[in-house]
Amino acid sequence: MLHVAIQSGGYEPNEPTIKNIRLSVNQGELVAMIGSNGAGKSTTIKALMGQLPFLEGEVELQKGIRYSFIPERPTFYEDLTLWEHIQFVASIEELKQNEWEPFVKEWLQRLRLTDVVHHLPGSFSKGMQQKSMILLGLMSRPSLWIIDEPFMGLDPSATKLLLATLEEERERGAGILMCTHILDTAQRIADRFVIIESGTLHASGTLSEVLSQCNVERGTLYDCFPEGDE
Amino acid sequence: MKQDLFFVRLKKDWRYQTNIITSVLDWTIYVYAIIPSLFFLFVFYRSWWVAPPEWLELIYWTGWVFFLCLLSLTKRWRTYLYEADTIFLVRRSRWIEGMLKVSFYYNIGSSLIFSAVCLFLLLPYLIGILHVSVYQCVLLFIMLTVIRSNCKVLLYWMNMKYNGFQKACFISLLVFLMILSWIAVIASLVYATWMVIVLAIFYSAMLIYFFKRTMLNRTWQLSYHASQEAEWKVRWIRRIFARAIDIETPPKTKLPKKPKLFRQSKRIFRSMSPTAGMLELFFKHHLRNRTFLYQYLRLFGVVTFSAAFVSADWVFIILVTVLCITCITIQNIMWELLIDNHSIGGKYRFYNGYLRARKWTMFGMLTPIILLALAFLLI
Repeated sequence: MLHVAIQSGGYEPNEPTIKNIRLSVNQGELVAMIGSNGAGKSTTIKALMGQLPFLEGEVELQKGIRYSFIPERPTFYEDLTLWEHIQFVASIEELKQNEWEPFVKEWLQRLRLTDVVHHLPGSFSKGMQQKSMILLGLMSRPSLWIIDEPFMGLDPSATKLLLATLEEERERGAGILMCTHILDTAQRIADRFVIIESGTLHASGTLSEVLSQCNVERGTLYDCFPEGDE
Repeated sequence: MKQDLFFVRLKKDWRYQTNIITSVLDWTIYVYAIIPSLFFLFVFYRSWWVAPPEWLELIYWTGWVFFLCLLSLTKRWRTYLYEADTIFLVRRSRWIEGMLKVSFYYNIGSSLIFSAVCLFLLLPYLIGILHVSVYQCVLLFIMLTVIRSNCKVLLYWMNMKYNGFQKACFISLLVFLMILSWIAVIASLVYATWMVIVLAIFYSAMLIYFFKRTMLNRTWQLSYHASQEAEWKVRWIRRIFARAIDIETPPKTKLPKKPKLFRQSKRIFRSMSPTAGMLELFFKHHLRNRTFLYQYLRLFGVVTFSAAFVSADWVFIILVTVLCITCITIQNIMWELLIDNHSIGGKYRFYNGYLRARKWTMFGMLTPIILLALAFLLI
């Protein structure tokens, strides 16, 4: 579904921020990308989204698939209400009104956003913004999700809802690439892991493979990082 | 101590703003743009003193009145009270009052400097063309300072007290009053100078009254002062970010819950096609965000103002061409911000609906400009 082989990439020419990163996401699989602050996770995501100014390598997305991206800091059109965002996505994705409207209304209720549907999402709390982004992402029924730090600033109920949604999406057959700092949760829900350190691939594979690459077979993901690094 | 705090902050702010501006200027801009521009400006200005150019006589004094009137609305009342003060200074109301008092003198002082610079630049016109005496120049300088300070404090007060339509009405009234004042000032300079002194006393009394009524002894308005400062502090950053499409725009400090126009998300276009969706986004972005409209208005204003003073057709054609190119550039930047570099719109950047919408908006903007220009040339 998604194959990435980055030789180097960055914001300035000849000053690579990330190097030698390889990863892939398959159907119905949740891949967690983890690493310290400034390790290069968000830069890798930018490279996947085609937003990195300098990139050497390949980002191969299966032809014709739809993807949804949720950035670390949800970014909305500051002059459009939530409902207008929904209509925007519906019109660009050419969704049929009798299909998207009931779907959206059901999710608005589930996400407890019905009362604020005519408000500007810029005025929402972080959790509400994240939920709005999920809703917009869900509308296009994506085959691939790219999510950057989804749990940052979310309250417990929103976190629970997000986890349930991710699980539903995975069951539907969507692939998920998730960038996170919350290692306990990642360890619990992810199928495979990609550890990035200092802009390069440190380890990748299933939990046992990653732990063995980090020489901590009996440990947890936390043991892959030196103390005081975070 | 309060004075010290105020001036420490003032100094820090100057350093902060200078660092922001110099961060985007490299030596090529200094060598190829800034230094030559300053040199030629100096040469031209000096030549105006020696022999005022004939075209200066073509400009009516009312044009300068309008220009100076607009300049009076460009700056903001500064208090240098920050968000942290709502925590650390909130119990020391005397400190806040002290800061506000010092800010009063600072704002008057900065208006004085600004008026002096304006007047100095206008002197060749005032002395060489209008034949204004030194005494009249001094009076004009006083009036410029007083009116500018009044404008600043009144705008600040309106912003604090009113919102939406009411604010728009008050600002329109203020602009109207300012235009009248300026006409009165210039008329008084030409015919009866005693009127200037009366107006200066009237405006100064109004300024002190408003300042005492709205700012002093009102420490509970601290959060308003702090929010105004926070917004004003990042003005250069915002301008730079608005022109640098490849970096993310910083979030706004104050966001309304609902938009003022199309409050219930009412659609402009009935169609739900991809092109209509893109156009809907484009138009709502423009209609709800006044900064873009101001940008266009400023652009059209400058071109119309310049066109009114040129007689040669070829200069007019050059002006219209520059206008068209600038409009195309602004629109391209706008679309790139909305779609190409946006986390929601980014994935639609190769869609046909987007490319069609871009063509339509470009066509919609350039056609009336070209038609109006042709009509102007033919008539």
